[in-house]
Amino acid sequence: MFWVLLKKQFTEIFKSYFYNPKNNTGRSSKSTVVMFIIFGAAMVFGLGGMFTALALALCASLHSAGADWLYYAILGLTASAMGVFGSVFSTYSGLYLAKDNDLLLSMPIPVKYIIAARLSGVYLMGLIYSGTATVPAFAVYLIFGSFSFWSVTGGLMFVLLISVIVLILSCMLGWIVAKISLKLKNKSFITVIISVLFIGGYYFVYFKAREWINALIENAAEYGAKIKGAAYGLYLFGQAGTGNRLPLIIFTLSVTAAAALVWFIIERSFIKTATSSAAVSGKAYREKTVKMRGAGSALFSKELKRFTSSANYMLNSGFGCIFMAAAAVALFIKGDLAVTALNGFSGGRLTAVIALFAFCFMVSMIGTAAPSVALEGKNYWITRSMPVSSYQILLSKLQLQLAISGGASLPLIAAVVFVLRKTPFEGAAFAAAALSLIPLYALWQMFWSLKNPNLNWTSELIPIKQSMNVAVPLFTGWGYTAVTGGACMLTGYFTGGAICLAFLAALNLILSLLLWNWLKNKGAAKYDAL
Amino acid sequence: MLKIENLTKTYGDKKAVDGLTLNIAPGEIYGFIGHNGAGKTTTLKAAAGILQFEQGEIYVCGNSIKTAPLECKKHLAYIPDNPDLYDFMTGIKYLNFFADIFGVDAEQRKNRIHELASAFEIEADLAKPISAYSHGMKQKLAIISAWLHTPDLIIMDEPFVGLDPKASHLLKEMMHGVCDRGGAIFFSTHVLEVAEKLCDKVAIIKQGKLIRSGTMDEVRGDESLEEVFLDLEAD
Repeated sequence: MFWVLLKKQFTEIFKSYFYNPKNNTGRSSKSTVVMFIIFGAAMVFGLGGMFTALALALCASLHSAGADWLYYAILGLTASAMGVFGSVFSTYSGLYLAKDNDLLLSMPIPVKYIIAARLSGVYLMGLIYSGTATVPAFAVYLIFGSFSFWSVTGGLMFVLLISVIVLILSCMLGWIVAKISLKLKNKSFITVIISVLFIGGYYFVYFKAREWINALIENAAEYGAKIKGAAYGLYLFGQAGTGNRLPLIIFTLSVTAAAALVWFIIERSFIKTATSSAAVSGKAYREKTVKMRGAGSALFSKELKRFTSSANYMLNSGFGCIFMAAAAVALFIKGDLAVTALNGFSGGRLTAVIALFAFCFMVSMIGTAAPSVALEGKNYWITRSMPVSSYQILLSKLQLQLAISGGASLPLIAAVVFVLRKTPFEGAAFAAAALSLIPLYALWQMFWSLKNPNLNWTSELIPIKQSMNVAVPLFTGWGYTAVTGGACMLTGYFTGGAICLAFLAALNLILSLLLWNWLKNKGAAKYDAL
Repeated sequence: MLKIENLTKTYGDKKAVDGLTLNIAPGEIYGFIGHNGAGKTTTLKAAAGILQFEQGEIYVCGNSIKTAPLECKKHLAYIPDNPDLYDFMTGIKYLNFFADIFGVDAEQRKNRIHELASAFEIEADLAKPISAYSHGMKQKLAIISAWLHTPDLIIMDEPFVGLDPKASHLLKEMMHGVCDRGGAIFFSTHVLEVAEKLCDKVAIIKQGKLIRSGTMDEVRGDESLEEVFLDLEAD
């Protein structure tokens, strides 16, 4: 019975890799393999590459200073943070908000099987995210640290136990989120605020990391002694990774005991939490006259309400807004310093191009349009039975993306133009290129949102987070940035950045027009035929 | 009001609806019955302009659903078998969304919402999110949204499922009200007693094909509708 549930859980997570939702048939094994390779490559070369660089920076120095445990402690904490960051909200919605909870609870299935199957999905996601840090840490240590039977054993246990720690922390935080959710009314916004604070802290640490790493390497012995004295548990944690037997046994037993405790708590509270209703406004409806709106405005409001009612949607699809706001503020405060640094790099020829490169990266991280069609889900019938065209429906989704990415972009564009005030042509060319990117990315996402959208999801995380419709436009957006940015840098060095950016703006507009024409005709027809 | 001509819809190799022809005139309550998977929902969705089809034609108030879908949809309302509504909206926001799309003016919508929501006894709950509604409350909200713009044709898939007896009675009265003002109702049901008492005409579909249709007296003759249906199913 458990294996049936497990199969269902994993099928749901990786459904789009095995099944084509358009014709509801299985994909060929070749295309499944290709999709898994793309996903694996993104994890290994994207996140994995970043943590490999961190491991390489730390390993040899800490090993030679005799602080191997500190190396594993730092990377273990980083991996745990990464894993929890990647799976805490999916734990809450996957465990307590899954749409088939009622169905499964009505069946003669022991509750512990349902929980175990759900947790297996959470564990897998945690393992994937934490593995992007623990696996490079382990591999780098074997090469630049120590290679022995116990260092291999310790490293392997480290990889496994960190993933269990991630599971424990995700469950604890997910449980807290579930408890809070039952009390809160505007929980989507509160969740977003907490998450943004968390992300802010994460990036503060990230940007300070190099400074801290250098200080750590220079004073490894001193810091090691201080940490060991103040947090002996952390010392044991790091020692376990190096393969020191006693700490490894203590660490393993501690993690096992913590996992058992978490299991005990979840098993006892699962039914109550999963079947409780969230706090609902006790206010009775009071009749009032509302202003009549047009169909376009009503559809846009519906899309906006859909976005603001879901913390998952806001966090995953509006992430770039945070970067853009932070970058705009930073530029207004210390923009001249940044321009001086960039001018030094390229003699001033490529300053605007590099700024656009960073802008592209951030704007491509705003993606409300990509999951918007799939998010219609079982509500698809509502707008389709109304006297509005499919183009109008798609346009409202596009407008939301334009409003959010445009709203977040304008202060940043203004900030860049302000810091480039001494070279107004460059500033104007940057503004034109940046503004032309906003509709291009929005339309590109709409294009992908219509590629076999999965309307039969049971958790909204599937269309928002775990779908090709979201991943492909994000990665291809970065690819477009890399290609056009690279071309601008190569040619801009000789011609000056302004000319290249003007050409790029023209190219973006042409591509946008082509995509818009596609959306109006073929895209609308595709939506009709879903 | 609704004219379905030689409708054919296939899923892969399977014909869900096969050459179906029906004509629903103003003032008629037309019942649509058949076993599970017979093609009722497919037909209703095609008539409401939700589902595309390969062959045939559907006209609503003289307009083709293929060539003038928006004109057709202005005249109709659809209620699905399972009321999957926007969980992220409150009841009143959902109704206002419908009213905006169908262009119901402020005063008229205020009166209609008050009249219908109080009749279904959910007026006080309209400020609550739909996610907090029971199945029956969602069904009532779907019915109110369908009646909000006083459509000429209402297409309903199993509309009585989940409704309490009082709400069912009210819905039947409302269906007669639509016909009294010259509109028409086309609905599917598995409750043959309801169809027998409520419908002016009935159509029986089996494996996508229309096997009998006409006035209630023509279809059942001297037998009950249940007996006729079971006989036809057995053939």
